[in-house]
Amino acid sequence: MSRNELLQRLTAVDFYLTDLHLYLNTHPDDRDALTKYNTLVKEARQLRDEYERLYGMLMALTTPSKYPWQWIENPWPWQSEFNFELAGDD
Amino acid sequence: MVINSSSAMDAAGMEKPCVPQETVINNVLLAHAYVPFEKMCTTFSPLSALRKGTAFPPLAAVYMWQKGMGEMNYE
Repeated sequence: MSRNELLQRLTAVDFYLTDLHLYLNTHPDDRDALTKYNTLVKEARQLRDEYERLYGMLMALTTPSKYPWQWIENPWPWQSEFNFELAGDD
Repeated sequence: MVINSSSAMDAAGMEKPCVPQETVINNVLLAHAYVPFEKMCTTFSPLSALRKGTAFPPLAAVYMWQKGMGEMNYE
C-alpha cells in the first residue's frame, strides 16, 4: 500500500475502533461487537507497524526511531500535506 | 418614547406578571427522557464510517454532511 492508502486505512480503522469502544462501554456483553473490536485492534496494530516501518513515526512516545531522530522530519502529522484527502461524498 | 408617569406607576403596581404564566397543574411528574437502547446490527465499513462520522447506520443521519459546509470562506 502507498503511504496515503496506508494512512487512510489506519485512520478509518482507528475511527471505527473509537466508535466501537464507545458502544462497548454501554454493551459489554455484546460478543459480536467484541469480536469485531478485537479483530480490528489487531489490524490497526499491523497497519501502524507497517506504516512506521515504511514511512516514519506516527507518535513521538511509542515509536522507535532509526538514526537520526525521525520525529523532526516534515511534514508533521497535524500539517495538511501529511494527511490524505477524503474524496467523494459517499 | 414618552411614558406617561401615572400609567407607568399603574403598570408597576399591577399584580399581573409580564410573562404569561402557565396554568397550574397539580400532581404532575417531572419529564422523563427516554432513548431506545442501541443494538448493533450492521455497521459501515471503516472508511465509510470515517466519512459519515459514525460506524452505526441508525446514527448516521444526525451527522450527515451537507454540501456547502466545506466551502466556507475564512478570509
